[in-house]
Amino acid sequence: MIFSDLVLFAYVGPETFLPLVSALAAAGGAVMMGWRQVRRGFDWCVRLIVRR
Amino acid sequence: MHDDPSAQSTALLEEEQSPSVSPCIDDEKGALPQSATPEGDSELQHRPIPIGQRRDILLGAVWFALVTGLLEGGYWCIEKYCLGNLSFLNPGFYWMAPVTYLVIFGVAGLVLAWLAGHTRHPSMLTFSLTLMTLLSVFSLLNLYPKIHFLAQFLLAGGVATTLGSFYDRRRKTLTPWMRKTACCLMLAVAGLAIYQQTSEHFQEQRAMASLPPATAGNPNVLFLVLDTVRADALGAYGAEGNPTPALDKLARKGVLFEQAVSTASWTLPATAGMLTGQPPHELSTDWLHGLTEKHATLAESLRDRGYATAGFAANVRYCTREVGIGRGFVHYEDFPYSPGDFLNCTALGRRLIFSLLSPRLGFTDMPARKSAADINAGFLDWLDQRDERPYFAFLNYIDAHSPYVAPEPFRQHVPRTAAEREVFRFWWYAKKDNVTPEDKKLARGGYDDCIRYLDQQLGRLFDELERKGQLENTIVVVTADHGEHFGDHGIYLHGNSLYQALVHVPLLIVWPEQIPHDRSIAAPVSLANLPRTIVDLVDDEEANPFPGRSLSAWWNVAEDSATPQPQPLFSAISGPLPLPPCHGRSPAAGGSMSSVRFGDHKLILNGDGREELYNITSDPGELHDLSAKPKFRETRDRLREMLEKTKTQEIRENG
Repeated sequence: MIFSDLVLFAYVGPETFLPLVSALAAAGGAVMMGWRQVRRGFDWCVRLIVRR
Repeated sequence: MHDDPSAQSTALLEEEQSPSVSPCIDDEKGALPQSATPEGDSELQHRPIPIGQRRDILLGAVWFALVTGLLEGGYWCIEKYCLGNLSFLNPGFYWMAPVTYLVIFGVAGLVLAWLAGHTRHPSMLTFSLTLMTLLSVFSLLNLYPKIHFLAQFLLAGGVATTLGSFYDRRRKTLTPWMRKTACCLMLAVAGLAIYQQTSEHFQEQRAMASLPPATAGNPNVLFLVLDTVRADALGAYGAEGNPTPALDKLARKGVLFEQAVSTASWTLPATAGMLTGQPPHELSTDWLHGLTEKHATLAESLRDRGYATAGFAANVRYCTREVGIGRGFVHYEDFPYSPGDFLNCTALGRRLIFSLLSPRLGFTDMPARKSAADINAGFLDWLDQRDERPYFAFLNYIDAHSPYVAPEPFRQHVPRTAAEREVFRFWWYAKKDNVTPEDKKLARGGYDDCIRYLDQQLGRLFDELERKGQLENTIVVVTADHGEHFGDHGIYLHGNSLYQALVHVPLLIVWPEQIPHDRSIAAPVSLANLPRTIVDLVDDEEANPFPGRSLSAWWNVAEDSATPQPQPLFSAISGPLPLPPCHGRSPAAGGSMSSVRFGDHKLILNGDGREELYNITSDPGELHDLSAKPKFRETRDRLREMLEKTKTQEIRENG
């Protein structure tokens, strides 16, 4: 049972967090939010290379 | 949207400004209508609301609420019914979660619809659906709260922005599809709610109809378990200031056991022990596992004797049907179906209550707490509706459990500073390394306030039962599942040790005309003997299915006969609770513990293998450990041997 200890008392405290999983989730979210900008930047780089 | 003529006319009627302005807008591209003035500030004022946009925003709120709630309900169904795990949720969680989300998303939808009307921006629908997605994903991510709040928010934002562009592209087909599916989902939720409520009702009707006839004249049994009440908190056990006049009055009408010992120091194994007569190691109960059907319960035994059995539990974590405590009860009331209960059925609701709202709003009590008044009302209602057969009623009160928030006018100990508020709000979780004497005093004061309130409610219950003539042929048993630490041995709360503060509990047994009045029994007894005692009292002719010895042996002693031989009294708790009460200095931090009391002495075997020996009669506070003293080596070895033999049937049956 993974979640029961938390559901049990609905406790969410600092010692509860998993830092690596949290960091990965945050990074994933940030990439998804900025995906358009990432693609735009990628396209810009490609164009730059092709022009040369 | 604007393909629907009726919707178009509705939207037209809703227009509060510029009715002459054509509402026809290229909703898919968010372009301005032909007739709108494209210049300056007047553009916003004259821009019409896209047709049905506000309605579609509300539709989106309903759709996302239902989908989120059903997904979360589905998750818990898999956890509970497929994987066999405990959910600790109201059994109606699968329809309560969508209903709760309807309220949460509904509020968000109303705000967004108002904004759509106010800003008149054509992309408000896409924006709103994106926000709903964020809220939905964030809610579902809260099922796994080990991810930090900000990380959850970022991930939900990422998913929402990705899906936002999808909504933008598919707006034309999306809303009609959402409308159709929302209707189906709504019907599904309503169907689930009706199914759950009616199936419970019919199950109870069937169980009641199948009860065998009861023996005429059998007494009723009223079994009151006061969660987290230390023996020394009652006036009858020496508490000063007359805190419990009603219980003291009751004690004078029957037998009081001065040294009653619970089989565990937290609710589930302790309650399971007093309903099955089994010590904790014989039971399957621990923090994450309920009571299996291996052992018969007192409720089952009395139900099979024709008793109408009913349970009213305020502890909605460890006294529920789900954990097995409700087994054998024809009627059982645990979860209150209150707003707090609904919120507790959703991951977002739990987050809102515990992490976001309660610290900011100063909310200190546990959500969905059922007060003693609620328990009494539920029981008295049931009592009025039952037929003439004898009853067994189990009432569990949680008023003395932390947070210690007594209702007015009993609330004498009120936190004034932020630090003091912590004592009440997160006393369970707060680290206790720096607890000041004032904090300790405040916590104990709040606890005593709660007990005064509980006593008043019990007094009202006894008065009402007396008025109804119900007490004449009723065996009343009052006890507690465990006590509470207030810094004794540097420990707080419960479930984390086997010291007397936790296992020494009150025990009163009253049966007018049948049990001696105003009698105190000094011999230590175990609550595991209660099922055998009760069955022995109500029906001494049939075989008693419970182990142990009837406590009536102690009050039925003739003056010329010897008192019953002392019994070894076992208590145990399984491994550490993965939460702060069992951390740090707590003896349970080292693992499972067990203890045995025999006569004056008590041996505690700690999880780390360390032993402690105390003379409880001369040292009730367990301050002087005798285990290392050569003089007590023999006693220690004898008690250790008893402890090792607890798993054999011999010692439990023969004492």
